Amino acid sequence: MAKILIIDDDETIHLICRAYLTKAGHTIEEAYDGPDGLLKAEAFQPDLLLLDINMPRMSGFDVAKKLKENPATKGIPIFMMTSLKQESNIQRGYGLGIEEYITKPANVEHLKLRIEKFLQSRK
Amino acid sequence: MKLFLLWAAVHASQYVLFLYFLAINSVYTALILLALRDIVRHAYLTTSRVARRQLASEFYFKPVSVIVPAHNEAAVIIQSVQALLNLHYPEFEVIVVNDGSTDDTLERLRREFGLLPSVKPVRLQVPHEAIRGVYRSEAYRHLIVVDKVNGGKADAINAGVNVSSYPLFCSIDADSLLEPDALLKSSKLFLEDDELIATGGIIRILNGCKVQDGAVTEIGLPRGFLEAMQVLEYTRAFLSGRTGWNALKSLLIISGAFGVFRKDMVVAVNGYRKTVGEDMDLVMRLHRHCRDRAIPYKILFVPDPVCWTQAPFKLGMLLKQRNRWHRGMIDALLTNRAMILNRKYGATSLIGVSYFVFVELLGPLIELLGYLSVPVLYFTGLLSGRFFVMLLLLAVFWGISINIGAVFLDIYNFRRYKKTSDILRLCVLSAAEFFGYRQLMLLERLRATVTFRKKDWGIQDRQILEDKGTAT
Amino acid sequence: MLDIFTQSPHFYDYVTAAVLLLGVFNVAEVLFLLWNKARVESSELKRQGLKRLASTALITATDPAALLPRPAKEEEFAAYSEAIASVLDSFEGEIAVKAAQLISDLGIDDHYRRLARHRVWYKRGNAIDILSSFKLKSNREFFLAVFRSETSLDVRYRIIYGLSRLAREHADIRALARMLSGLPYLTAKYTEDIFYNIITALKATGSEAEFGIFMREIMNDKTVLNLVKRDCITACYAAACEKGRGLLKEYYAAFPDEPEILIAAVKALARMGDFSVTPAAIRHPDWRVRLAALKYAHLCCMDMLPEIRALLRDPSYHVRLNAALALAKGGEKGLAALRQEAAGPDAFAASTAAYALSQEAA
Repeated sequence: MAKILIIDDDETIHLICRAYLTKAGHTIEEAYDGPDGLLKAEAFQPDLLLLDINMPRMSGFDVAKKLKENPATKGIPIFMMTSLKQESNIQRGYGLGIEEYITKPANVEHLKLRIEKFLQSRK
Repeated sequence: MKLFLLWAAVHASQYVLFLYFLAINSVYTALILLALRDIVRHAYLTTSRVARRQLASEFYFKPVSVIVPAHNEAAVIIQSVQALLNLHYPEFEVIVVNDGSTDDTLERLRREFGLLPSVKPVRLQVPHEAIRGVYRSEAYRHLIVVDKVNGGKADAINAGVNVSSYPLFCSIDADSLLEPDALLKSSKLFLEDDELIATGGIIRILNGCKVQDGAVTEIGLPRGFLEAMQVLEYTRAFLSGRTGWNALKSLLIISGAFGVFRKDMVVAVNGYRKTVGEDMDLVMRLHRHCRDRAIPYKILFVPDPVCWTQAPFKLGMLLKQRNRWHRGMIDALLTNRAMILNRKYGATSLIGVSYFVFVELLGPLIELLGYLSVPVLYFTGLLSGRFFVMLLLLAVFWGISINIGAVFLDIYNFRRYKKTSDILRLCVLSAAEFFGYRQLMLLERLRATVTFRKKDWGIQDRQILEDKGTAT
Repeated sequence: MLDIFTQSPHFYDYVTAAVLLLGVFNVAEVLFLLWNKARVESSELKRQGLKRLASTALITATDPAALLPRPAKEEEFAAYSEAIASVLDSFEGEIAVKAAQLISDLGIDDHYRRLARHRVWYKRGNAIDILSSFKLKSNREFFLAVFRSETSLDVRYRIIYGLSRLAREHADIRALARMLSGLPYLTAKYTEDIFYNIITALKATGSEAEFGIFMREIMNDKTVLNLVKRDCITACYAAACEKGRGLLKEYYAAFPDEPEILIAAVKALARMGDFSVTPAAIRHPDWRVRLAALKYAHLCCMDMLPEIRALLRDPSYHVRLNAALALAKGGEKGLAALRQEAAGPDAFAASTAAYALSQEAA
C-alpha cells in the first residue's frame, strides 16, 4: 500500500520490520547508514521514513536535519526510533519537524498500527 | 699506544653493536607482543553491541574546538575546512589559524565562507605572536578564523587555544583528513575517564586511497615505493609502537597531525613551546607537570580514531620531513632533560624517555658505527666473513619478522587493506626496508643530529585532493 | 671479546639455527596472515548468516528453537546472542517473549554462565556483558553469586552494570550502592549510567518512586560519596525522572557547600522546567554554580536584572561572559542594559556586552 524506507544500522531490526510491514502490504526499502539513507530517500521518495537515532557514523538527528534541508526530501514524514526518553531528545526531534517518536523497546504490532493510522490520516 | 686504543675501540664497538642490535630488536618484539595482547583483549571486550551502546551516549559529549594551524595552505585549505565543518559531532567549533601566510590563504577563506570580524574578547592564557584579527563565518557559525603574525605551528595552536571556547581541543594539520567519527571516538574517552588529559589516534597514509566528498571511500596501498614504505613504517610505529607504550605508561608523542587535549592542562603547562618538535615537547611537559604535582593522569594512544594524512612522495620532501622530526625530538629531549633516567618520573622516564635517548637518538650513531666497523674489522682480519654474514642475516630476518608482525596486527584488528595483493606487497616491503630505505633514513637522521642548530620548518609541496579520485 | 663467542665450537651452529628459524618463522608469519584473513572473512559471513537465520526464525516460527541449529562453537553463540539482544533491545511483545525463550531453549545462558567462570578475565567480562544484554530477571541471583567470588575489578564493574538493569525496588538499589562503594570510584559516566539503568528499569515496572526512596535514604549517609550522589542527580535528569522534583530541591538545600551536587541539581531541575533554585544559585559564592545557573537565567530570573548586570564584573571570566549572554537573551530590558554597558567605562564589560549583542543579533 505505501512505500516505507527504513534507515537503521542493525540488520535484525530491518528483518523484523520488513517482515511485519510487507505482510501488511507495504513496500520496503532499506538503508544501513545515514549517507545511503539520504540517497535512497531522494530516489525512492517514500511515504514514510523509519529512522533510528543511534547510528555509528551519522546520527539520526543529522540525517533528519539533512533530509529537512533538502527540498527533494523535505516533505517526507519521519518516525524516529530511539531508546532514550530524554526530554531534550524529544525537543530536538520535534524542533526538526519529526512526526512521531517511537521509544524502544517498541511493540511491532502497535508500530504497524500507528504507521497505518498515520498514513490514513494523511490521505 | 694509538694502535692499542684503536684495537680497544674496535673491540668495544663490537660489544656495543651486538648489544644495541639485541636491545633494539628485543624492544620492538616486546612492543609487538604487548600490542598483540592489548588488541586481543580489545577484540573481546568491544563487541558491536557494546560499542553501539557506548556510541548511543552521543548525547553525553564534551564540546571540542578543532584547531587548524595554516601557513601558506591555499591549495588545500578550503577542502580541508569543508571536510571539518561536516564532521559528525554534536557541538564543536573549527578554528583556522592563519599563521601569517604570504599566499592568499586568508583571502580564499574570506571569500568562500563569508568572514565577518568577531568581537568576542580573547582570553590570553598562553603566549603567542600578536593576533591581527578574529573572524567568524557568516554561513557557518562554528567556523572561526584567526589571523596572526607568523610564529610557527606551535605558536599558531596557542593562539587557537586562546580563542577557543571549549574544554577540549583537537589539533590537526591543514592537510589531514579526519574520519567522520574520529572526533566522537576520541572525545568520548574524556567523558569516560576523568584522569585522561591527552589522546592521540592513529595516523594513516592517504596516498593511494580514493577520496570522495571529504571522506575516504576506498583504501589501497599507494603505488609509489616511497609512499608504500611509509605505510609500513606508520603501521609499525603506531600499532606496535604506541599501543605498546600505553601499557608501559610511556607515551611521549601525540602526533601533531591529530591529537585531542584537555585545554586546562595544556594551559597549565603554558601551552606549546615555540620549537620544531612541539608535539613531543608538549606531551613530555604534561608528564612532568602531572608527576611533579602528583596529579593522577593518563595520556593514551587509542587506535580507534583515524586521521588520514598525505605522505611526501618525493625523496627530497621525505628526507626534509624526517630531518625535521629528528631535530624536533632532539630539541624536546634537551629541553626536558630532567626526565632522562630520573626515577622520580617512574616508568615514563626509565622506559619511555630512555628508549628515545638510547634507541632513537643514539641509535643512528651506533648503527653507523656498525656499518663503518665492518670494513675495518674485515681488513684487520678480525672479522670472519661467515660471522658477518650470519649476524647480518639474523638482524635482517629479525627485523622482517617485526615488520610482518606489525602488518599482522593491523590486518587482524582493523582489516583496512583488504586486497591480498596489498597485504603481500606489505610483506615484501617488510624485507625491502633493510636494503636501502632504512640506511637512507639513517643518514638523514645523522645529518639532523649534526645540523641540529638550524631551526626551520621546510616547505612541503601539497597535492590537491581530487574530489572524485585518488590522492596521487 | 666477541672472539670468546666466535671461538666456541657451537656458536656458529646456534647462530645458523637462529637464522634458519627466523627465516622459516617469517614465511610462516606471512602464510598465517593470509590464512587468518581468509578465516576471519569466512567466519564473519557465517555469523551474519546465522543472525539472519535466527531473526527470520523468530518472525516466522511459533517455536523458533526447533528450526535453528543448536550452537556449539563460540562464534555461533556470539551470533545468536547478538541477534537476540538486538531484538530484546528494540522490541517488546510477542517477539521479545520468543527471543527470551530462545535463550534457554538453545542453552545460551548456560553457556555464558559457564564462561563467566572462565580462567581468563576478559572472557569472563565478555560473558557478563552478554548476559547483561539479555536483561533476564533469572540472572539476578547468578550475578550476585559471581560478584562475591569475582577477583577482577573490571569484571565486577560489569556485573554491577548488569545488575543495574534488573533493579526492582529500593532494597536492590541499596545493595547495588553498597557494592559500588566497595569498589574504587570508576568514572562519573559509569556511575551515572548505573543509576540511569536503575531508573529505566524501575520505570518499566512502574516503580519509579523506589528511586526517590533510595535517594532520600542516602542523602545524609556519609558513607556514600558525594560524587555518587551527584551522579544520581544527573541520572535523574538523563532518565527524565519527573517524580524526583521535590527531592532534588531537598538535595539543593542539603548540600550548600558541594558545588558538584548544586550544579547537577540546578541543571536537572531546569530541564524539568523548575527554576525555584536558580536565583539562589546565581548568588552562590562558588563561580561554577553561578555559571550553571546563568545558563538558564533568561528563562526565569530577569527580575534579577541588576544583579545579573553586576555579574558582568565578576572575577570569573566565564561568569562574565554568560551573564552578558543571559542579558542578551533576556528581552528588551536585558538588551537595553547591555547597550548601556557596551558604551560604559569598564573595558572588559563593554567588549563582552558588545559580543553578546552581536550574538543575539545573529
